[in-house]
Amino acid sequence: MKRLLLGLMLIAALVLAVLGGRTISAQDKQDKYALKIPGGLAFSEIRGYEDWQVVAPSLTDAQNVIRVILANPVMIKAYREGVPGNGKPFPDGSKIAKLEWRPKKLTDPPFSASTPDTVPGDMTVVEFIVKDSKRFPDTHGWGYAMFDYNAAAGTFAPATSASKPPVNNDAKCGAACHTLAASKDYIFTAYPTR
Amino acid sequence: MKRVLLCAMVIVALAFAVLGGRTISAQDKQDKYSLKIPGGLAFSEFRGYESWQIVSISQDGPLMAAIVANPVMIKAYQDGAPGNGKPFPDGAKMAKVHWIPTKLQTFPAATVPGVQHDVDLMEKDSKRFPDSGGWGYAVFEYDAASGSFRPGNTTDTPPQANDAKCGAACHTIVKKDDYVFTQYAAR
Repeated sequence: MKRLLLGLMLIAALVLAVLGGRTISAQDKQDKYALKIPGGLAFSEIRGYEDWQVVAPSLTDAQNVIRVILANPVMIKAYREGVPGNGKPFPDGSKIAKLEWRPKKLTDPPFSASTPDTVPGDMTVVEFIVKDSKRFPDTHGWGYAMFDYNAAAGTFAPATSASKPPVNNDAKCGAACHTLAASKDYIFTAYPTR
Repeated sequence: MKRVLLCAMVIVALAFAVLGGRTISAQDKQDKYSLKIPGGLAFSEFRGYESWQIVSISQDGPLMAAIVANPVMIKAYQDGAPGNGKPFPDGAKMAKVHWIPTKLQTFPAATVPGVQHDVDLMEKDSKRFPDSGGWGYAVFEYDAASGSFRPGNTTDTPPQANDAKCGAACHTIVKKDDYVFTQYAAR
């Protein structure tokens, strides 16, 4: 009888250990959508961006970055209808996200050092812009945010005034730069044929 | 009365002209999904790839690429394929859209897609493509001037013969990854 009890206790202890371990590893994984720029946008405003459709890739060798630009269904629909080339602005509710990675050169066959392919390596940042003309009247209807990614830790953090570009405690971090694209409703990225 | 009649005739004539114009422009727009590689895949097997989710992007020799996949394949990627040792399931499809790069007009430091060059396609059907690792391949070249696609042929790079094997030789190098080069980029 005592042996049976001991056996049951051992099993219970094992079950607890396994469940406990799982709880800890679940806690380790950061809930990025709980993050928020102080005075600015919350990461959760683009919840689900991982599944958004692609607008276009982009790269800047000088900045050692390769990126992809994704948009939510409202904005993809507008692009396909010809915005911003048709002179119409993107509608409120449009959201666009830019994911940046360090470039990784593929040199294994069939590639080589002289003819590498360049693909995403470690992710460095997620930037996004949302259109809400009532909420962001000072920046042509667009609110901006940026979250830096630490690839080693696998966690995001709100960008700060030390980030590139600097992010203050507001939703205006991209406004000055995006003025260059004022004729395209402040959006640099065009929707290419596919 | 004559004037009214004349007016009505002009309106009818205008209406025909407008409708006719629309019909012609609709005909001009190619139905790419009616194209087929002789002896190989039909473009229509990938209908809707324009809206598929992104797997990754690349600078691919002189071209830029976005690699997208259908829901079956995206789910397999998200479940860990091919790194988890499991192959992609039958029904998995992916498309690689190639563009000729250009400088972003409003921000020339950035290189972005210019005109489209082609779209490369592959799909998994282990019964249909037993000789090429279960994958069938196809290339359709894009002509930006006319805005139309054509089936790839043996003069293209890589050459597209009258079969579904155009990518098989090259993709054999990544047999361990179920013949798929592109990894699902973290996001």
